[in-house]
Amino acid sequence: MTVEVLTNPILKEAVYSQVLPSGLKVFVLPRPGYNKKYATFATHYGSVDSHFVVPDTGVDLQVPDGIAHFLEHKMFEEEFGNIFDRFAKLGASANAYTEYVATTYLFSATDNFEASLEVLLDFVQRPYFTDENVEKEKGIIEQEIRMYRDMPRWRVQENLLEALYHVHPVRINIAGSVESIYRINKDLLYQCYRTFYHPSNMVFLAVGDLDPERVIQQVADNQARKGFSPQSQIKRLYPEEPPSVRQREIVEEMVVSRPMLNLGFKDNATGYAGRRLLEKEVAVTTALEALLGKSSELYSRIYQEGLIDEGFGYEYMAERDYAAVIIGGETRDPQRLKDLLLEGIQQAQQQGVNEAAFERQRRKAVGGLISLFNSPENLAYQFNHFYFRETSLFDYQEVLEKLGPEDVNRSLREHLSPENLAVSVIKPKKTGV
Amino acid sequence: MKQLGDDYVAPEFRQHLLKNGIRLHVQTTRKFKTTTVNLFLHQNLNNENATRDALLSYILRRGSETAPTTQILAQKLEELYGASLRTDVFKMGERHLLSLRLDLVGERFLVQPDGLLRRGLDLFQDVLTRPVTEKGVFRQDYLDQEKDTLRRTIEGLINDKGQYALTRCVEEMCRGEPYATFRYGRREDIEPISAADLFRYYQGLLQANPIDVFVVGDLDFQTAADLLEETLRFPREGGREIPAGAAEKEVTEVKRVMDREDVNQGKLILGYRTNIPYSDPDLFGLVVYNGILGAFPHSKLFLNVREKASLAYYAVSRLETTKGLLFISSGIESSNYQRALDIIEEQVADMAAGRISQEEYDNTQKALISQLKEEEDSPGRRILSYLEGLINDRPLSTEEEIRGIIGVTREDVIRVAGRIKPDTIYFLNSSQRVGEMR
Repeated sequence: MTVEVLTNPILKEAVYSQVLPSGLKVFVLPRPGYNKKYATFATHYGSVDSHFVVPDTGVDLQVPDGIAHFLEHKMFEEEFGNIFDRFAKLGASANAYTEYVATTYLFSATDNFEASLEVLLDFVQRPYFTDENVEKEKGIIEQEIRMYRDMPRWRVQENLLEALYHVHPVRINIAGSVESIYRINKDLLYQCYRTFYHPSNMVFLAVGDLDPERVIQQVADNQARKGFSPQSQIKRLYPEEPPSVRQREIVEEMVVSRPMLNLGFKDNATGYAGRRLLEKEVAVTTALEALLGKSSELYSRIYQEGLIDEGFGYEYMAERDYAAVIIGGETRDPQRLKDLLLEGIQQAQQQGVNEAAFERQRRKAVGGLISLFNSPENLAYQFNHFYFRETSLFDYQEVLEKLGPEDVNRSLREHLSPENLAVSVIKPKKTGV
Repeated sequence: MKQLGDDYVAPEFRQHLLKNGIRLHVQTTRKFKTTTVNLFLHQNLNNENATRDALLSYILRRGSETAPTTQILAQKLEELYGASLRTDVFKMGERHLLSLRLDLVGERFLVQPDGLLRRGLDLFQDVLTRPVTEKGVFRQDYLDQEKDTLRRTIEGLINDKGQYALTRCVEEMCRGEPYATFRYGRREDIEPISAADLFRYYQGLLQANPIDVFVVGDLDFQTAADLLEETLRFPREGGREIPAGAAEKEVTEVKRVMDREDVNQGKLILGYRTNIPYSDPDLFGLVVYNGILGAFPHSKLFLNVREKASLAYYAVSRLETTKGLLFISSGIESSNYQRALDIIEEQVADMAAGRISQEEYDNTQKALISQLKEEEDSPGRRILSYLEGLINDRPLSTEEEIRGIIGVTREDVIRVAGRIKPDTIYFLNSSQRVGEMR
């Protein structure tokens, strides 16, 4: 089996890759001159995968909310202690994060990269759950959930997804609830692990001043020793999501200085990945930048009225099975901001973006792509995110070059339609208990 | 296994004094895809100055003579391949800093660079030295709008409960000292500021206050020196000194402060005086002390508060090495206040009693060295850490810092522990069940 090399002459970058016999995909992105060596080992399994068929038993299983995240915490436990200590002895630091569609384990090291790499591959492929260590984690995760519950930026978005979706599990927050995590036990964790942690469902990536062939060989040797047998395709079961939004508005009171507003536009044109998804993402993102970025008329207007501040933002969450445009931030007057945003959107839908604005956004995106390579961790994050959607970060530039103003104008019309709108508002609660 | 810090050569900052007295620090490197230019205006820390500096940081974003609105400025930056031009205010010890930072894509990555670096620097110069004016002072409408922005920022602190708790702890702990100042200043100091006052104040800053500017990127020293001489060629008198702040204070009684808000999680902050100034030989001992206590997942706080007692998701300690402060923070159930506090204080007591295993010690040294090397991979982080050295008249290269960490012995850490004194225990919580505070 040979190592594949994909280069990008503009970025002056290359990515080396190989698919191992177990199905594990291995990538290396060399970053000469960097001291930090950063590696991720990620599974295509996140909080939305809460209903599936267990491969070895054929059992149809619905698991408690937050279990993917719980599992991530518990992977750090070993029979002989906790895995942070193993990395600490090597001068490396480990971490992990769980998202809606993926769970990523990582370490960062300046020395002892190879030894750290063995630890990463081994701990993620060696679950050790006991009744006792599972119980112990509940208090920790409960505090993590409570911490996020006090963060208005998270709450406003979680509530928005709850309003947009009737049944799709993206409406449930990643860590689950204090109630749901107390229903998790070691048997459930093992069943999730067996279903989603097979190498064929995973991807390994290393970024840093590394010899790609050597890293790939090391991963291959490690995996060959473990002798994985093939696994059949994972059956993920998602409920049928109606196209409508579930609820027009959700309002919650919190201890904040002023209200927060999030507008969400549900995108029903889902069910595909790959190049087509990337094209859609690039078009919608460019449309949002042109419409709402600091260089736009609309931004000037709402800023000068004192309706927004630096924290105002917008994003397009574009996954295979769900997608939504989210716009918002803190504001003194959610109703007024909402009205002006909708009016501005409607106007842009009729008039289209101008050629100059479109070109500027394209330039900005090129600069953003180049700058991304400055930060190993951001680069790894984006690279994996593209990979899980069956596309590649290295395709981004080409898609951007082929993008035309008509694609952007079509995105404006298709993705920001009022019938797909839901609103989430956080209102200040009177302070003091 | 490789030895600590061996065969490591870090790129250095080279210094140059511009004709008008601005200090330039250049790091030539090809490893980044961007060029970073970061300028810092130094000022005395007090409420009036912090408020005015914060207001300036907002008003400068509104544009310059060649880009007289936020919108046009944003358009120009987009044309420069999404260059970013950011302003910020922060404190280091008892000094307030106003920062202006430009990041540009390296020209060698562009098919048509069109003099990108030069155009970026022109814009930087314009924003810094020729802000939009009306009758010779800041535009009134911009000032009014940015006063509102600043009010919202100050009031918005409560939206981040962790930051709120830390800021409140500092406020109570350093009451009467300049360090108590919030980096955005005070709400009541905003109103009286007039466009003329602020403009005059800004001209004074540019003319007299210390200024450092950093350049990190793919350009050689002489090119950088020439370009910056050109970019920052305004006349200056210089001469204003920023006095060094106090980094030591005797504590007679530990303060206990409790704030109540309707929160899901209580935020516990313990503030300590390290009594170790940046210039002190024990600086590196202090850094190692903090590492063993709470900077890493192998540290005592993480292990005992989180892993053993399951009381928290996070329990960490951090340092302010210019002012000589150490803070421990943890998010806990309000009813677990006393248990968490006992465990934390036990860890601090163990440090003082020298109950530090060889493994804790070794792991911490390795982690700190790794951290220092990783700092070299981020222009922003390296600039800030070097700036702290400059401020304390002890600029340190990464290699000096690594050697400093390697040189720390267990006895040094124990001696450091003996110098650190508790000052304030702060708790933000919602519960009535906290019980009597001792």
